[in-house]
Amino acid sequence: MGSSEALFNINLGNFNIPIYFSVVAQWIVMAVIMISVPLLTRNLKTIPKGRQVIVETIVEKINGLVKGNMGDEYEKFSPFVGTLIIFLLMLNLFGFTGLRPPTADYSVALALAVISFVIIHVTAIVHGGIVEYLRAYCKPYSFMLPLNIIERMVVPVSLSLRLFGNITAAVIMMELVYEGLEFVSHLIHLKVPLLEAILPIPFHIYFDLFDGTIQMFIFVMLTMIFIKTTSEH
Amino acid sequence: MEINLWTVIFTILNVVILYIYLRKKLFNPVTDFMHNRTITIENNIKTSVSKKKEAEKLKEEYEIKLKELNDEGRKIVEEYKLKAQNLHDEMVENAKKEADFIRQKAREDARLEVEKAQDEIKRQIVTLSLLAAAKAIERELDEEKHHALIKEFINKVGA
Repeated sequence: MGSSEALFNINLGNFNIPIYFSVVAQWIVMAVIMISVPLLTRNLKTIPKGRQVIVETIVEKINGLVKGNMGDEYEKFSPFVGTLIIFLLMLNLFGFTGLRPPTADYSVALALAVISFVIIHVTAIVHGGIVEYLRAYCKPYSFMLPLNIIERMVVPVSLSLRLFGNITAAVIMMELVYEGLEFVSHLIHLKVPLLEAILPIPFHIYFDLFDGTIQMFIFVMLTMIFIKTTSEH
Repeated sequence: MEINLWTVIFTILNVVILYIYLRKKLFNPVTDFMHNRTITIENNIKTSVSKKKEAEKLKEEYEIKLKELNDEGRKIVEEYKLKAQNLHDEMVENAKKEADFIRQKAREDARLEVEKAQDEIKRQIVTLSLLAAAKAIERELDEEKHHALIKEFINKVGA
């Protein structure tokens, strides 16, 4: 699917670092975010107007989501959750450019899940101390230890596979739709690919917009819930 | 679906960079801004409520004061009216008294004048009668004696 080949390599002495398209796509997304944020947030006024309303709504919704799902004492997580929301949403919706969304690369999905995993466990250790954290593995009974370890270690795997699987499936579905429409066009001898111009729109809405948003939301919600439950049990 | 370590590392790095950037440029400033605005609005509401209460209290106070002043003003007017009435009564009384006095005096004066005139007439009559008697009897009478006699006579007649 074109993701197995590096776009280019960076040579650092003995190291040869391959750069894949999914990393370049992330850089494009980051550039878009970093250019638009200063434009949106410069000179904030007491009475919001225009773009400021959008920015305030986004930040307010993210803060409200974190407070609503995790409680007021976890408010400091809202920049992290907000970053995940914005970044993941844009990565998932990258398919709208006609290119492959970076989250359809398992390495990217795994990296995001690893970040969540680290945050979950660091928060738990900081919140209750290392002893309490380790003791939690033996609750409610000590013989549950292996099960608890599996339960915790499987989180990043399930997070990353869910994200990767859904986005990849959406990409494959879209490719199938286009291939199918091309086949039909060919069958009825259409010179101009009219079918491919309009018919895929509902599929794009479902597989790219809907699925991308839902997957972002699931990933973020699970991360928030795991941060809270792991640090409080 | 092979895992590429460098892609994983770059993705983690990207998320960390983006997190730091968004926290510094988007979430913290906007959240702080909104928080400050909330505090400002709350303070404004609190101050306006207390100001309103204060104003109401002042209004009540002034209303009471105004009522008091009204009452006092009315009292003063009433007092002066009374004083003026008294003064008026007094003046009328005085004038009446004075008039009475003047009338009394005039009457007295008139009476005295009449008495004086009567006396004068008596004296004239006496003189005239004396003169007439002297002429009649042609004789020198004791003027003093006669004088008294005639006066007595006149008095008896009741001029």
